[in-house]
Amino acid sequence: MTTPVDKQHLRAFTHGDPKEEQELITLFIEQIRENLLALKEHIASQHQEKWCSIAHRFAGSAGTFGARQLHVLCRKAEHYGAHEEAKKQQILTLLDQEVNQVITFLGQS
Amino acid sequence: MTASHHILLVDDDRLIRMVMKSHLRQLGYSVHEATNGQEVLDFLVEGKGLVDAILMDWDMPVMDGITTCQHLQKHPKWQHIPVIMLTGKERTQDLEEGKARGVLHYLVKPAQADDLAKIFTHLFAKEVPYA
Repeated sequence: MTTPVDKQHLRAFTHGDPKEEQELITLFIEQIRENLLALKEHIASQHQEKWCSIAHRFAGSAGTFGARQLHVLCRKAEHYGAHEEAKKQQILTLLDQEVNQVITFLGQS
Repeated sequence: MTASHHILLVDDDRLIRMVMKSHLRQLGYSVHEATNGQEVLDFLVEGKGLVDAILMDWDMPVMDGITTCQHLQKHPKWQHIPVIMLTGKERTQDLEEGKARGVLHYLVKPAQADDLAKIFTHLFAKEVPYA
């Protein structure tokens, strides 16, 4: 069974330093909340470029942190820039759910 | 000995900088940080520190990675600094464009810790003299 965050991936970068890992977890949770909010604020078609840019950045940090499913969803969102709002809302719902799962997982582990 | 090597880490995303910096420092490298290409040029012009290699994101505000490479290529003192580009781009056309503008290696995001370590180990093992 896969977890929302591959902690081995992150540990390979921190070399198992618990202090660094905790700092990264705190920052990541802060960032994913901000990114999700920013996407919601730029769902309208006139913000197409900004939407893609936020999703691109979101994907980069999610992947680097080891949040694999979140990374995949962000990549998908990045290509939804030109889509209608209803389509973007669908991916936002999935992102919302995944962000909650990541935060819950990081809070428990 | 890796402690003698200095890497300039460039990314507008704080989390990515923190993750990469943690790894590079644990590997024994000295790490300086910048958040965009303009800061890289400022760092070099002002001589804020030694730079043996640059690990840089492609997409950044103010000045992106490719534009930064173009500036470095024009400067005789900086054109030999090896640039490792972090990118989410995978299209051959994009990657070839980067190579033509001075990118030495690519690390496709999400980068793996082992790949990052291997690139710098190999790079510095060559003992290429840099400005």
